[in-house]
Amino acid sequence: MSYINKTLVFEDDKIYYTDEEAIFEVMMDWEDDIMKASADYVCENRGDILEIGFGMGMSANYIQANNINSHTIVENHPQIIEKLKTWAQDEPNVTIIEGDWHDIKDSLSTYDGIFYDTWGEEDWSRFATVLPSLIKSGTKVTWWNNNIDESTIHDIDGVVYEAINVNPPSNCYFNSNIYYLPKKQF
Amino acid sequence: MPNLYSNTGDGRVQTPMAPAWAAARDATSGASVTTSNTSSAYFTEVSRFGGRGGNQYRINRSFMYFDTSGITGTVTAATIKIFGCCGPADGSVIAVKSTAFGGDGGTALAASDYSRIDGFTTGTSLAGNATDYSNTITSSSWSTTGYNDLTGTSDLRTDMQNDNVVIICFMDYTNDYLNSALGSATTLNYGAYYTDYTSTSRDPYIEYTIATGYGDIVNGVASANIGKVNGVATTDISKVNGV
Repeated sequence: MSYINKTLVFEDDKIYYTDEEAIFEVMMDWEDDIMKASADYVCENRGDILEIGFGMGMSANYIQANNINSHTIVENHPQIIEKLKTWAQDEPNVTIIEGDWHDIKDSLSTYDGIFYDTWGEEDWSRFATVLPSLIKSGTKVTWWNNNIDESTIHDIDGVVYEAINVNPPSNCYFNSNIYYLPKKQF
Repeated sequence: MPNLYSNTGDGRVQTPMAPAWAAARDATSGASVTTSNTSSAYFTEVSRFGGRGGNQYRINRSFMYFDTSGITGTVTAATIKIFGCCGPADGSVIAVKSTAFGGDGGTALAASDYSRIDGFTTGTSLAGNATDYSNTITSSSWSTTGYNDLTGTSDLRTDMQNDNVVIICFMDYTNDYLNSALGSATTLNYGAYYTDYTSTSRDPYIEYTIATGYGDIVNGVASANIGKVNGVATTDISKVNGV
């Protein structure tokens, strides 16, 4: 069963689902500093921002706080889409695109900042392949980075990293005390 | 044919989520141990999840031990019987010799037993390295509503007759045993019952056969009192007197 068919549980401090005998945290509130830093980086140009993956909406709130022109959010999980629609009612510069980001990529534009943070990708190499079609000169891009050093799974050159101290409780996706925020400016 | 049931300490060891196949498959220790479940969908399991920001892998192996101290004689056949459950049964399984449970059944199953497989070698297939205790079952051949038969190898039969305890690890064959990393996001698993099931009707056991006739050395019996000797191979007869 794919991720979008999982029934998510929303709690104050996390979103998760269960798979018979295991808990899969999708997003947790300990990421707040990471989300703020990610949002602030991709908004340094202001302008038009693309956010792929809404999650708990933490980064979306920080992006909105950056006085940007437009905020396009792509989300594929039905339950999170409903949360996103509710959240966006008070955000007039938000455009919601429902579906898998790769399926709708041709409907996207080019952006001044891009934050890519998804769950359940079948093929992680697609982001680096598609990224050139979404950028302008100077676009600032970041993404969720599971690597616990200054590296990334994405085939993107010239990335610099900002170390952020974090204190995550045990979870299924990140258990280090340093998060290496990737920063790529084109 | 006698049946030998698994000890109630049987169970399952699961790895933590790992960011690479090798980190899960070659882990020296698991993250969790379950010995009280009556059944599990993850009797054997290999999974790749497209989690947050990258792939994650997880493996489950099951461990059982059998008290074979009461077996005397030559074990001529052995079949490991595992009652399946919990579809979709798209995994695979092989039984291999293990040194879990302290190597003698005297210690409870532990997370560190995950890698206690006789001949286990990191980074490579176990074919030719591990001691196989059974044939393999793959794909939809696994019954989820009845017993599955794993035919015991000569190594299993020999250990049953020579050792006081036989310890078995049940692991995914196609990917875990052969060390073949999953190429896409999927879960391949077989479900099964453990000895904690409420009766023995679904418990794991080994059905075995002992050779008829004298299987042991017999001393102090006058030849006049031996009417027949069956089942002795000619290569085992060093002398023939009075013929």
